[in-house]
Formats: sequence, structure tokens, C-alpha cells
Amino acid sequence: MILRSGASEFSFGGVGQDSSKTRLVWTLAWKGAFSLKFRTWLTLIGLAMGTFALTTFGSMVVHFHKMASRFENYAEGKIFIRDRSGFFGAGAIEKDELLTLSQMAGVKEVIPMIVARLHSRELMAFGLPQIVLGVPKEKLPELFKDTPLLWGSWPENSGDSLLGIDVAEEQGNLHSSSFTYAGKKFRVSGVMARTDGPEDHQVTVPLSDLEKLLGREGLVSYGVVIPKPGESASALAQLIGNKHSNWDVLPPTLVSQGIRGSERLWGALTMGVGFLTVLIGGIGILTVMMMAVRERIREIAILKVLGASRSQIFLLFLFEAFILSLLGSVAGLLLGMVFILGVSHPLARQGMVLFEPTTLLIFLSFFLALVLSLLGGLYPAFYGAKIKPADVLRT
Amino acid sequence: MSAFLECHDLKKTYQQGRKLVSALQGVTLSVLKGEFLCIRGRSGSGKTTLLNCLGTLDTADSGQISLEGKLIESLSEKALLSLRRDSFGFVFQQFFLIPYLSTTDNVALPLVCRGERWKEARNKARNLLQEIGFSERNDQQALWLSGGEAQRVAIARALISNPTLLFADEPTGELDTATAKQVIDLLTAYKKRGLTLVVATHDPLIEHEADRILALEDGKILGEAPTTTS
Repeated sequence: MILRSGASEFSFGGVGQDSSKTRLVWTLAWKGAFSLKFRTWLTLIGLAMGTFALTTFGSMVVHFHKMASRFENYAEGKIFIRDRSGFFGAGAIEKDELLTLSQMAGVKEVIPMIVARLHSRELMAFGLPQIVLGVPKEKLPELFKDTPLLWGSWPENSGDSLLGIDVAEEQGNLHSSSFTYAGKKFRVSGVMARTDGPEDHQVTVPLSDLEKLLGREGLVSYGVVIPKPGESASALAQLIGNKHSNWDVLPPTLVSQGIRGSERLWGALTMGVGFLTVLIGGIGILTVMMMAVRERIREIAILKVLGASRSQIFLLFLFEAFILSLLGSVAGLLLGMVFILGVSHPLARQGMVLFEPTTLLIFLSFFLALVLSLLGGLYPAFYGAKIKPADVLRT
Repeated sequence: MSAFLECHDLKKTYQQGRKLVSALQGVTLSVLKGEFLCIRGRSGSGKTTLLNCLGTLDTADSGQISLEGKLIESLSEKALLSLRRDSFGFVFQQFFLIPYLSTTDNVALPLVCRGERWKEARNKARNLLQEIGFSERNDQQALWLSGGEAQRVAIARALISNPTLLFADEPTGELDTATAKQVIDLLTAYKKRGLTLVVATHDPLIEHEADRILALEDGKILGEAPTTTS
């Protein structure tokens, strides 16, 4: 059995050395990863939290982005005029003063509006609050020309109301016939289809009804000026601003800049926090794997003595890191999805849509968490691969 | 008879903490095919370093090692890996089994390292364990084996690849006399079947079985010591 035949007693290379290298690697990596220690559990939790943060914050950013895009579309080609105290504040402008703008050259339409909070007790809301919007009924089709109706028609008479989809859902019946606001019962003339924009959270009623109901006849919250075709909205806004220094006159470019600026800031903050959490998870993997390599330094040495190659040792620890990363990322992703699904529905019923997870986002969160933690496993794997068995076994 | 394994003027110095240790100071020796060579020396005499260099686990600072007349320094890293895996067997004083693997898997490991399937490697490992009279605790984790059991499993691991040369570093160093005897019997049984053995030890029981004993002190070969059989 021991005696060999042939020219040489020794094997100087070749036989089977490159075939099925991963057989050894997978088995040992699997066993190594599942001899989970307390610190490994902590790292897995850390990585899972990172993926969770990335998924939830990411879906918030997606939602904000969609909302911003919708608002940008709504604002396109319109000049917004408001009192300096803002859209949702108590500030008001004289309706008659606003309507004089229709005499200006280049102005196609002037639409005065009243905005009031739907729930006066609602102190804060994420994104846009639910509102009641008073608009001259003849201007509605022009103002919301891109918004389809789920059913019904635009308010045509005094006492009519058009519900946004979230408000209608909150009513519990998409086809309810009446809606009560501030003690007044409105007939529901229709419901707008979902837009993922501010219209979803609003109830639109004739301006005259809201003026009477709120006791602010002659005063409006803000106005929208639509320029004639070919007219520059920015130049027109400049002219209006020069004449009325008590107003904020916002051309579409400024509205767009404001929206996109907020979106960028919000996105950078939330995604930054998510990314940092995942990074910390990845550093956790680095630490755990480094400790695993140091603890199993004799095991590595003996594997090398038995004929394991550098690449086998490298892959062994990289696979182990991969298994841990996969476990952490999947756990975080599942946790994130359960949280989003569990929280978003009750919140949506209160008019607060926070999350909008997409397949791409889920894939990216998972992929990023996996890649970062695998990067964390690279150095320990390199370190393990270059260990010299004699140095270890001598001690 | 020509030398199977030879080394000439082997020198090796390594750093231990802040001091430099001259482990080998010009060692020259030769091993014949099928021989049981014992290297005797106290702790720190350079036995382990000599075995590591001969077994290609370490490289000497100077000097030459040749196998069947072929210089080891002329071999590539890949060829050395192949040599260790397919032609050499190693046994250590502290056994160095992988604690979370079963006895069978520990023995099968060298075969899997060279690409054999786990299933086939395990079958071979079970057969070998049975052959050396160890078949009761094959599925037990190596962590739970006694010293004597662990060393017999470590020897089986060294033999599974059907090596030409077996290097053993103090193989009975951590065993009681009765268990040490079992291990020595196992080694001599394989020696009789043609295995060449190079064993570093200061255990008289091993020396008793050796064909030749070389005394090593402070990294130098002092000379050949008489064996009890000579």
C-alpha cells in the first residue's frame, strides 16, 4: 500500500490539485459560520439593522421623490402667489387685488384659492397635510387638467365636493355620497384617481362655499397665475413681484428648485444614515472575521500542512463572511418589509404615507449590505491566506 | 543505497520576540528509503525547525534539501503544495485536529484538499480507521477525543494520502506510556510496509524502534547515537 511504483516516489505537482477546490471550502465555511458565537449574533443583528434602515429610509426617500415629482408637475407652467406667511399659515391676500392681475399683459388666468386644514387638531403631518381647497368651480378643470377622476364629475354647484383618494378611503367608502366639513354637509360629486401627489390628501370645494364657511370673504390663501402660451413665467413673476412687494411670487422654476433642494437634503440625510448603519454592520463583519481568523490560526496552518492552497483558505473565510452577510442582509430586509407593511397601512389610513418600497430599492439595499459586508470579509480572508504554517505551529 | 532525502549545511534563524534564534547551524543528514530515522534532542535543540524545513513547511536561510536528488529550492510553490499533500504525512505533538469536525472528516481532510468528494474520502477514512483499530467513535467531534485517540486519528490523517515520507514531531510527547506504545506500534507497522519515517523525539520508546538515531543539540548534529537494536 505504501510502496509506489513508477519513476519517482514523490508527487511534484499536478494530480487533482485544481479540481473541486470549493468542496473543502464550502464544508468548512458552513461549519465555521454556524458555530455562531455571541459576538457573531451581535454582528448579524447590526448588519440586519443596517439593511433594515436602508430599506425603510430608502422607501421613505422613494415616496418623497414621487411626491416631489408630482408637485413639480402640478406647479409646471404656474406662478404661485402667497402672502409672506406661507401656504398653510394664517396669511391671506386680498382676492380683488389678486384678480387685478388678470388685466396684466401675458396673463391667461388668475385662480384665487383658500387652503384650510381638514383636521384642525392635526398638529403635524409627514409630507403634505390633509387639506380643504377652495377653488372657483369653473377653474377646476383647467387647474387639475392632468388629474383623472376615479368616478363622478368636478364640483359644478355650490355644496359639491371632490375628494382626494386618501380622504375618500379614510371615509371608509370610496362612493360615499356626502362629506362633512366644519359642520357643513357637502355632496360628493366625485373622487380623484390616485396621483401620489398632494391631490390625494385634499378635498376640493367651490371657493365661495369655503369663503362663507370660514368667514373670510374677500380673502384668499394664495393664487395661481397661468401665463398665456409662449409667455415666460419667470419674467411675468418678476413683473408681478415688482408691483406687489407684500407677496411671495414663485415662478415654476423656483418652486421646482425648492422642491428638489428639499428632496436632495432629505434624501442625503436619510440615505446617509442608512448607509452608515450598513457600513457599521460591514465593519462588524470585518471584526468578527478577523477574530475568527486569529482564533483559528492553527486550523489554517494545519489545513496548509495538509495541502490546502492559499486560494482555498482565502475562499474559506470569504465564504464564511458571505454566509454571515447573507443571513444579516436577508434578516434586515425581511424585518424592514414587515415593518413597512405593518406601519404603512395604519398610517395611510390617517393620511400619512411614509414608505414606498420598490423592487429596485429592495434589491439595492440587499446588494449594498451584502457587498459592504463581503468587503469586510476580504481583509481577514487575505490575512488568513498568507499565514505561514511553520510560524504558527512552532509556537 | 542512495539517499532518499538529503540535506546539506542547513541553516535557519528566526525571530522570537526580540531575540534571534539560530535554530539550525549547518545541519547535514540523509535518510534512506524505508528507513526509520529518529532525531533526538532536548527541547529547543532545533528538531521542529529541522522537520519543518525537511517537510517544506518552512524554508531554510541557506543550505540544500533534495528528494531523490531533486533540489527542493528548484520547485515551484505549486509543486511544493502537491508534494506536501500527496507524498508527505505530518504528525504533531499537539495533534492539531480540527475540533468541530468528526473523526472521520478529520482523516478525510487531506483527500478533500486534493479534490476528492467528501463521500469517497469518508469511506476511505472509515476503512483506514478500522484498519488501525479505531472504529468506535468515528462520528464524534474531534474535540471530545482523549490524547491517545486524537494522536491515532492524527496519524490516520497523515497516512490517508498514502505518503512516501512521514514526519512526526514528538508524536508521543503528550501521551502516557501505554498510549505511546500503541502509537509507536502503529508507526512501526507502517514502517514495515515501506513507509519512510523521520521522527523528532526524546522518547526512549520511539528510539528503541528506530533504525538510526541522530543527536541534535543547539542546531547542530552531534553524531549518530547507537540504537538499542544495533
